[in-house]
Amino acid sequence: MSIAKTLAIRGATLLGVLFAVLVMVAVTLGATGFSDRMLTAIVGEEVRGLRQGLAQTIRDSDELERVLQERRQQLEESYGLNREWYLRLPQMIGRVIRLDMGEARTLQSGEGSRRVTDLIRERLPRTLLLVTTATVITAIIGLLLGVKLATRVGSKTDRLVSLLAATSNALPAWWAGILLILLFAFEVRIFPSGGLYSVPPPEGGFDRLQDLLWHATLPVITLVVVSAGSWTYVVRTMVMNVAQEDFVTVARAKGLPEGVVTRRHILRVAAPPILTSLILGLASSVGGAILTETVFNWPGMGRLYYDAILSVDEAVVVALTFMFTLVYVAARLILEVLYIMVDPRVRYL
Amino acid sequence: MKRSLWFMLALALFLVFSASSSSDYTPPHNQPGPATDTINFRAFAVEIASRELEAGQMDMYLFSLKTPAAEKLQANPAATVYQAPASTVSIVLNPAPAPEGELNPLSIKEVRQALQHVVNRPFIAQEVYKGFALPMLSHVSPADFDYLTVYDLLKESRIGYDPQLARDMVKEAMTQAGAELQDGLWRYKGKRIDLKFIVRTEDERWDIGNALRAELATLGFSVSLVPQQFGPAIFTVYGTDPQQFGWHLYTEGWGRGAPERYDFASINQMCAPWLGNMPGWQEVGFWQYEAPQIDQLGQRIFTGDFTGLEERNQLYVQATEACLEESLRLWVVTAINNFPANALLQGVTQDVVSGPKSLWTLREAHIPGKTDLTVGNLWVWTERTTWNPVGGFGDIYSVDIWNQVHDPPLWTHPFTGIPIPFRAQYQVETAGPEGKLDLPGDAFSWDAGAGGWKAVPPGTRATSKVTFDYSKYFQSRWHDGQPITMADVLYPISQLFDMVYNPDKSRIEFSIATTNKPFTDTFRGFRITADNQLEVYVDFWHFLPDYIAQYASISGVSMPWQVLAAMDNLVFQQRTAAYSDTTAARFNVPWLSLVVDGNARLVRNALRGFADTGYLPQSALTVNGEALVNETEAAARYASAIDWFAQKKHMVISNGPFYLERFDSSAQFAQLKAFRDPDYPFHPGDLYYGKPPAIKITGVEKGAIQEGADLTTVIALEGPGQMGVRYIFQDPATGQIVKSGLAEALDSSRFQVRIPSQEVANLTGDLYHLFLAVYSDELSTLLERKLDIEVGTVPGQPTSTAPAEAQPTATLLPSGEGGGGVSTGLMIAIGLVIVALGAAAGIGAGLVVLVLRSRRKA
Repeated sequence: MSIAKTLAIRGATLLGVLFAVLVMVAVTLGATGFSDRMLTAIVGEEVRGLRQGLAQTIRDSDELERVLQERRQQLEESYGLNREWYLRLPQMIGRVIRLDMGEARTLQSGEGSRRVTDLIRERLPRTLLLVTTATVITAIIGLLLGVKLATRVGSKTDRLVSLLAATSNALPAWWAGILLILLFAFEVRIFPSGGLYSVPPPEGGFDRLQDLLWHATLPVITLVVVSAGSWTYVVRTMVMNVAQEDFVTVARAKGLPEGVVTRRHILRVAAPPILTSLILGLASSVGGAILTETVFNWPGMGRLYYDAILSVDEAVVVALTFMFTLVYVAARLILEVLYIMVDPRVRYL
Repeated sequence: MKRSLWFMLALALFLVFSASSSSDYTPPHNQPGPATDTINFRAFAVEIASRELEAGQMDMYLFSLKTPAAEKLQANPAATVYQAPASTVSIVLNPAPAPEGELNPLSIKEVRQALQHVVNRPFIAQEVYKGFALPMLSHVSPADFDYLTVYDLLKESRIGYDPQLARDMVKEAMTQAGAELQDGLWRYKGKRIDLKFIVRTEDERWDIGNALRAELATLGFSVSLVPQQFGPAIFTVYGTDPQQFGWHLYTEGWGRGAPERYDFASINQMCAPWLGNMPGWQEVGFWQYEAPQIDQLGQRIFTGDFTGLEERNQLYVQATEACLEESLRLWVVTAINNFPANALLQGVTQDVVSGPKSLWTLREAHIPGKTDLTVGNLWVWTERTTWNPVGGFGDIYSVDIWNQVHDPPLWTHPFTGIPIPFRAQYQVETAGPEGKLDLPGDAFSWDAGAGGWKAVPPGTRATSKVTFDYSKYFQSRWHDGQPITMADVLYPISQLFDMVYNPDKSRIEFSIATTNKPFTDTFRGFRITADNQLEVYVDFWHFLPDYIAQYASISGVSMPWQVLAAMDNLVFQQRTAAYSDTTAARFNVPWLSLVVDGNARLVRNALRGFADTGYLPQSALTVNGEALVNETEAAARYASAIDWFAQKKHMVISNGPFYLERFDSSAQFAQLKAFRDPDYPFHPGDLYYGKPPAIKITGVEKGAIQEGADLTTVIALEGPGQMGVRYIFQDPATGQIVKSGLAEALDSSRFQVRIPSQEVANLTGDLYHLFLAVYSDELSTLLERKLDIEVGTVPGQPTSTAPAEAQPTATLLPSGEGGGGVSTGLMIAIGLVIVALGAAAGIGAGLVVLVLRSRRKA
């Protein structure tokens, strides 16, 4: 079977996964009744609140009741409750598959747009700046440190770093974030405690970007601190296993320089699993980091997804699920190609 | 114990309005406008707000701190914590009848009444809220003026913590219902009775729920505590049929917005099923709780179906009594909200309900020597933040800012709760609840069909007439420099009426039209009587004329007519924006927000179109053939507003002490700058009210029960306005009220309670309670005091007890005890983590050693 055909089959399979995920979202939201019940409760709550306000001006109780019923109908229509879930949700899914993300019901961007595309356009760069940057830094630290330690297995350095790696892995991100805020924002006062910009915020241009980067520093440090350990240890272990193979010993015995042995004989073989972690890590970084974003008041993709679920904004939930799954599918396809390039042993039959 | 509790309650009420801020307010300057030059609004999470305040990142926080943080901050001399009784807590019970073969104990009224006696309100106020709460027996808070109305009733009700009484009541009621108590638990037809208690986890309600659950267990009920947050709790309780029994009890929390001297809505909201806040929630298909008597009484109060204050009060007492009889809601506490500020901040007005959050404060607030303030809130921008005065302002955070940008015609007095003139003066003439006034021949009303003002039909009559004087508006300008005129008063009226009665517009903005129609239907006509005056004829009556004026104040005068006209053009002609969220969703257009660049540009472009075509909304601005605006004036207005957008990048133009300089949603930031128009009517000091004046009991000459002699007690007071004292003389052993009424005024500051000798002769106990509720016409809150009157004390000797305003005691507002504070908690947390890490490191090291050793052996 040719590589192209194999990749095409893999691609189709992954697209099937994408479709299955969307169906599961529809079933989870719709068939369980969750969406309808929550939206009905939200409508009821809005009407209950409206009673108190309208009671100030509508003193006729029958008239008040009539007005509230009309308002309830408007809200139900606005929330899509005038249509059954098996008509409403599949329509949303069909729309996102055509790459029309639709409109949010309750959420809006800072520019007042309800288009899901605009919401993503606003939030995604913030998440890339925070989470993706942290993932890249973590990966670089992990690779450099992990490879070094793999060649010094059992040394004091190896043991110390292993201990720190375990510590790093055990630290909850939200807790580490709070500690760092207390230390760097309130005690030492070299970083802000949260948010995107200072007050007053720079109007635009380089100053605004600089301010944004300064605000992103502490949350990025937090994510790196809690992630670098596990990354380092994983790389160390993968490289160590390969480094102990016979062919590596033979390469050394042939008198090859250590650098060549490391690059050509160790890293190249260890590359596929490391690449898998890296690519999938980068892909998942697009989904944001809800806890860190909350602690640092950083409105990114994680918070967007969380807010959409809380407010049962179906359009946003479906659109974001589609987007995250699509990114994962794309990452998997990229990996399939990279495997072939990186590891000559990988050939599809 | 009880005496100290009463003392602390009185002290709490006093201390609610106390702060360590200076009572001497010196305006920083005499320029027109606000006290400070700039206000920067920022968002801070409530968890770090106190730290940010201490770090100098803000000068005031408009969101309530959690109790432990407030406690700790009070010990900091650099900070002041302003307090306001801004929220209440209740437990709602599910009274739905159970299916055949089962029993819901809460469907039995006597069981519900019994539960009133297992809520330990003073304990909750003292221990859970650390003294930052006032116990509540009914929907009326001790901080409400209507507490006086129901004072006797509440004292007679004998609702209080008495678990034994509760057990006896439950036992009798449940046994009568056919239940059996086996192994300490109630069973019905062999099946254990389980109650589901939905408890909110976000605040002190979690502790209240746990405490009550323990009490319910002693009554023999098996209770499943279901911890839930806002969304799931709302769904479970308000989104399901009570007969599904997804819940039996739920911890409710209510916010209090503004002082209301004479309540008409709350009694209905909390007791009367018709208003949709009782189990069943008036949802179609749900089982509905019914209480016809409460509905009837509540609706009479609601619609003003009474001839005066006395009749109204009678109805109110009857409705409250019926409500207590039903005991569907167990009221727990009025929680004191805590608003921290820099101790140097001056000019704070403490509204009796909302504290420093009210509209008054930021106009006068300043720090001597500084020209700017930083004000924090939980958010500056949320998804509900939409700046349009027609259908927007969907969240309290934007309202907090908007309140400083515009001047309303009327507002509520921060202490009395009664509407007062703010920037418009008014005179009220009313024909009373049954009468009518004739409208003059030149009065006009909006004709949606013709799209203009037309003379009212002959013979048109109305209940009341309010004459508004807008001089204080017209003497000054809008923020963009254009004059404020009668056109700016009339245009929003025409805008509203056209939206309601023009079918083309009401079809578009359906929600605004339907919710306003019953209100606009009561307006009979208008008349311009002078350059600055507008008469409003309306079918509305209240025994307080100020409430009539508040109802009739239909024009907000918050934005210039040309901006409103441009928005109308976008919404109704171009169809590129919407005023309300439902219309925006329906037509896939933006919910119009004047702080959003794209939306503001649309308004700017509409104004450009007006300027280019010479458009003028003549029909809305022509009255009785006379045009209120000519083309030259209109052109100047359009140019000025367009210029405003070019400078500010938004379209918020108003007339308040501040104008909006910047709004940055991404940065959660808004900046207001002082509007220093020389003709602006207010200067620093004009709108300052400060702390509510305190009523003080300066002395009590307590009498004693002596046979053959009158029992007299003289109370000396200090306080504002016309004061009065209501008393209740009660036998604590039986709960019977021996005598009650108003104390006799000996002079303006001394009052006497007299129990005649004939009644004294009938007293059989040794100890009696004399409850005193002291009130003033200049305050919407009371001061309460309890005296013990004993048999046999030598008469005539003054027993001056410590006045209610005695030195604040640390026991009521502990500074740090029991709280722990952030630093100590942090140290403990760090210590625990170090221990945990040490253990983990030890285990990890051990494992590594084991692995290495095994490999060497291999």
